[in-house]
Amino acid sequence: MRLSSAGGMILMQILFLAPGALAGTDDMPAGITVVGQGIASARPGIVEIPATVTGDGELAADASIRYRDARRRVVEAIEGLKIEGLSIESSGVTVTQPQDPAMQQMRLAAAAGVANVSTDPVRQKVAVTEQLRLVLKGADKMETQKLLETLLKVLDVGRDNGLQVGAGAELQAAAGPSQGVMIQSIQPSIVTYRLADVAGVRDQAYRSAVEDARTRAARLAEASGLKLGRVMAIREQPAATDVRAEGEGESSLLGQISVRVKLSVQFEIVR
Amino acid sequence: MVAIPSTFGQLIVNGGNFIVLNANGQAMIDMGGATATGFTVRKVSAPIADAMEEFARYSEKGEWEKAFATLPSVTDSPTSGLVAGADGFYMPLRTRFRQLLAGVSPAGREAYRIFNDAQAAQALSELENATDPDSGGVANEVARLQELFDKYFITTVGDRIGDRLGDAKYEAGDFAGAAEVWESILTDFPDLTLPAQRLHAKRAIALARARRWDDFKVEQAYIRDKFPGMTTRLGTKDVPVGPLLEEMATSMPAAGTARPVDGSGPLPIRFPTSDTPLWQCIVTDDQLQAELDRTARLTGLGNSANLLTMVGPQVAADDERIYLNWFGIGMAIDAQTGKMLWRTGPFSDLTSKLQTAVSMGFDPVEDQAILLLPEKGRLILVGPSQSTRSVVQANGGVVVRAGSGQMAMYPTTGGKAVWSSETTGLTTWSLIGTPLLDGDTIYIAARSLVPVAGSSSNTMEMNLLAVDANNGRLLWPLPLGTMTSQLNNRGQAVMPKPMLLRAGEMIYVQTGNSAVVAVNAQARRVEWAYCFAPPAQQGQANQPANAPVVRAVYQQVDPLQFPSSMAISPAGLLVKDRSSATLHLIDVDHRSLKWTRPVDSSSAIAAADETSVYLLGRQLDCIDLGTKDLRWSSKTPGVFGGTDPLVIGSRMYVFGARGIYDLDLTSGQAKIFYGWERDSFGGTIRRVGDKLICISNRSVTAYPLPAQ
Repeated sequence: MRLSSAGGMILMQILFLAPGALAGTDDMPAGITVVGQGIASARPGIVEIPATVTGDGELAADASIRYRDARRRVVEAIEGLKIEGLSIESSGVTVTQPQDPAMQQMRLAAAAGVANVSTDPVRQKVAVTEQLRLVLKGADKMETQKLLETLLKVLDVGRDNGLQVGAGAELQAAAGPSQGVMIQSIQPSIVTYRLADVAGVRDQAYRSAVEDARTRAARLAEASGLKLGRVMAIREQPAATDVRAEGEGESSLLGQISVRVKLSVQFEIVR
Repeated sequence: MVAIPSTFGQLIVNGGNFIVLNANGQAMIDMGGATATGFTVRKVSAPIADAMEEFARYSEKGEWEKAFATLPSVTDSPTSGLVAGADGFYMPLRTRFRQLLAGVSPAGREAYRIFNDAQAAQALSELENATDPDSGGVANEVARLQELFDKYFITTVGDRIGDRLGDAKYEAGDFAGAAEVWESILTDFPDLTLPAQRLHAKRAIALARARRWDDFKVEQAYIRDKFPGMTTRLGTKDVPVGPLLEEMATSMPAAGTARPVDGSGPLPIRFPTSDTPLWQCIVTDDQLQAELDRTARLTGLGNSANLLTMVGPQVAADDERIYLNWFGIGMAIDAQTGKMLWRTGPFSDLTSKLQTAVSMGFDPVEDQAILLLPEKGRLILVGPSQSTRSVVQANGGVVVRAGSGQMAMYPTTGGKAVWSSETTGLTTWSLIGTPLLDGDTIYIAARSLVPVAGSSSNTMEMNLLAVDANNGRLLWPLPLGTMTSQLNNRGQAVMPKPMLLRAGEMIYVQTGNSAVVAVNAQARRVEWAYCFAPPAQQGQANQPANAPVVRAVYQQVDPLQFPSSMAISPAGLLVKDRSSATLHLIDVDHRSLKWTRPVDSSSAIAAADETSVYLLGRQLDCIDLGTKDLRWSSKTPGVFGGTDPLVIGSRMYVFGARGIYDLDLTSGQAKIFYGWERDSFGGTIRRVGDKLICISNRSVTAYPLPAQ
């Protein structure tokens, strides 16, 4: 794991201390309290592709067999690629009764007062759906181009065998053809990149944040003619949130993934 | 209401309606008074129905003289109407009439013989003593004998009349009819005077010639068991029957499908090792495709517009050329070089042809076809007519636009049309659906734009036309029944799209309107029909204003939807209508329904063999014909309704948007060849010599096949 140094991202949030605060009062903390930020980045070591395999049919037995065969073929095809580090994980199987788009239209028509329409279910299907995750580990050891080619190959093979990929796949599986097209057009990236060791990268970020806080506190102490002592308290604050609301250590972009931390550190003043 | 026990079930006659009850007393079908939401067969007229009702009433009372007095109006009627049977099946009147007579009580039979034996014996004597047995021709002899058989079947000489009829039908080539006659004698005739084993032998031979293999095997086993060592006279020789039947059994046919398959070469295809093609002929470049798409969108079809341009042309091929038919423009491409050799019109006409096709409710898969006559160096194009001769009809206030299809024959080397249906006397017919080429005869469904002599003036009546392929002239029309137009999502009335399938002597017409009609092409008559519940429709163009509430479901346009399809297998005839979610298996020998089964509505029958049927849609499903179980399923993403698969042996090749699938029909295991073309939706695949030819809505691409 390659680390880069923190710095260049420091915010100026300095607590000015009131006279006498150095000695501590009931309202103001004693010592010098600063906020330090740390960032650590690393290449993603894990790539995840959410996917869905579905079998449906008017007969439950048909749905079961279609699901069984679709799953077997997808697994065989992907495992047949013999890509090191690639595995298929399951999030579980559901049995549902998908909404018939035609019946939805009829209900709308009936609600709008169109005459001579029946909203009785004509044909109801059963769908057996399994949420899968295609997980590739060791991605950080692969060249970017090679990684891309591998991912696209997996996508092609999966789709050739009826796998529906992407975070909206379960919705697409239940929808009709035109609705499926609509869902496909608005869903986000179908690949998620994750850090293999989020905790380790976070540790580096912490160290960076502490160092940043110490630097800032030292400056304050010097400017105040004080001597900085030991750390008395550390409190982690929420880091800046990403507008894409991804989890920590993950990204939809293939590149360096950063972990940010923000610490409020209280230093003792040595007399 | 009168109940008459008979061999086919308990016939309940109530007014103009006939109801048949099964052994459990359940009503099977009520043919009268039902609201027509699909195809309506040609039923017997009300006077004939009344006469049969009277016969039934008097028979029950034992008033035989009065009962038999009603029969001439039935037997003397020239009607070709059908009578309802069980499970949606309809039979010719004469068949039902004969069964009705065969089912009367012994007292009734004796009474009938008192009234009719003398005439029957005299008629038979006249036939046997005729100085010129061929006077009037074979057809006239068959017709005369049929008339006598229908009228005098249960008389003392009925079996002898029937035997002569069977012989006459056999000589006329109506093998199925001959077998049916001998079966009637063996099954329904009470006092057989002819040697039974001889009738069994004749029936077995006729069944083999008619390719009714299920019944043939049963008959063969019966003869082997009951009459071992039997001989029969063929010509002047006495021939052992057993070995003769064994020899006939070796020619049992393979299953066929309604859509043409390229069986050239017995070995399966091995995919090329490289995506690079031998050649590619661009049919529509990006600019033309954009123009077509734009034209389609302007038609008001909304999201379904692009379906018209997703589908590629219809294809035929010989060793030298690949022939295409697209919106009525024919073209030929050199199979070796990929050069376009000729075309019947410029590509710039495509947009105008598309506009005209849309206005006619044209379907790019079901309303265009190409038939190749390689030994004659001819090909026939079937497509939408560009003529303004279309007749606009008013029907119950709804204007039904009569979309016209046309046919034209061209030399395979190019040049002017040899003939066109617009100049050969077919101008008063609107051709619909997919044609069938059988030797020198083209069979195609059509509806008349003008009243037809001997038929009704009903312009929604579907006819089966036999057309001479050499000159495009009409040989004969055969009315089948009345179809119901449907509304597309544009509110436009569109005609059903019939499909035809030839099996032995029979032509099965899948009307595309929830019915199958079996036509004996040799005898030019309807043998039976099967009507089933139509899929829920958005609305019916000619539905009465006071129609009851129906299960109308808005039909979303599904780009994956395949057309109607049929296949014949030893197990029977498989039928699935377009947009229907039901697969039917029909026992064609016994004219009964074996089973129905829910299937994916957007799929079609792609192939069938002795044990299984294969339906292609979003996945390829293998259904066991015996158990109805789904044996396996294999996803086929990128495959849509314009795809025309190729079956070779136990492998199916499907050209879809993602590439060419090679599907093992024994397991469903799939391989894919991506190919060179990435902008199309797939289409038709053919093997021509050592090349794999893929035809899409964009191009024709040839790949070299590795040596086998």
